[in-house]
Amino acid sequence: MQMPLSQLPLVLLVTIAIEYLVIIAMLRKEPLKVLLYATLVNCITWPPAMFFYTGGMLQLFFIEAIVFIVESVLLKYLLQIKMRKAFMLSLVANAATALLGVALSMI
Amino acid sequence: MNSRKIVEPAISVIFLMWFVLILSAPIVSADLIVPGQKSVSYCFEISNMADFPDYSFLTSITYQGSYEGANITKRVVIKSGECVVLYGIYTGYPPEIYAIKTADMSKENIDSQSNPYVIPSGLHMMRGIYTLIDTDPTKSIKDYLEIVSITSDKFEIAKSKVLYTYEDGTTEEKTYTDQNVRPAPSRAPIIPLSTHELLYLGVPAAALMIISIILVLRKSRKGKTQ
Repeated sequence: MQMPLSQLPLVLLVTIAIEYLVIIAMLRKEPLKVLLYATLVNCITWPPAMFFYTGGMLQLFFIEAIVFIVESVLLKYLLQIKMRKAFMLSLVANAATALLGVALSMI
Repeated sequence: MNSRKIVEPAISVIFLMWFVLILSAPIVSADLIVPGQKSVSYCFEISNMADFPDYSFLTSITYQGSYEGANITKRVVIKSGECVVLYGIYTGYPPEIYAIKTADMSKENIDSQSNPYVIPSGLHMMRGIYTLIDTDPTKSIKDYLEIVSITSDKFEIAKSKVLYTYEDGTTEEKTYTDQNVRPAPSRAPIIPLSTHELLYLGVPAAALMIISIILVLRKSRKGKTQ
């Protein structure tokens, strides 16, 4: 996505914050550890996603699908939870950030 | 004491500190003026002036006049063996190389644009100092020009080679194959990662490394308890 450099850190922080809030609301345990893991997971998936996303809903869907799978696997091993739960956490977290992103782009 | 209880928070703190530092980088660098640049001196020399003893060679200097911003062009004589340096007087008109029969030098003002004895070459040079990235090992650049031919109305001169002098005192010569492109030196500068590259490559790489450390520590801890 072509975004001014100064805005990128803020967007990443907002993404981490939203995903963290979603995950902690669903897990309700070890908030500090979850914060670290949410940060690490987003630090892996967010930069490539932003690098490859150039625009369009189809591309957004495709990239979000890859992000969803990668984050699910990472969350499973980091949080030591079952794959089904990891999929659920990743799905809700990524849906929340994607919806917010789409909503903001419409303003 | 459980080592995992110490290691994981330590990794968390280090990573979060590094992460905040990375995120603050664009804000910090925004206040700096052209960071990471250095000055490099440049000059040019006509290598075969002695082969044309009947001619004198000139270059032009254009600078802003003292009133109403009018540009003034002066032509200066290039001495044999001299490496011409044109310092900070460049105003958008690149210096050109001219030839004139030495016998015609005093017939008319050489600075005059309408002087019929001055033969332009059409070859433009660059000003004496410019900037390169500060990790570039180049200290100075010298272009060698070679006179190809001179007739009463046509003057042909071309860039033949470039001499790069590096910070450690060593030199390197490169031959021109295209008059518009200076052959690049072999010793390339180390280009530091830009903030964009740091964000797109450095952040995921660091995060992946930390996740690997956490998982390996966890596995080794599990192995010990079994």
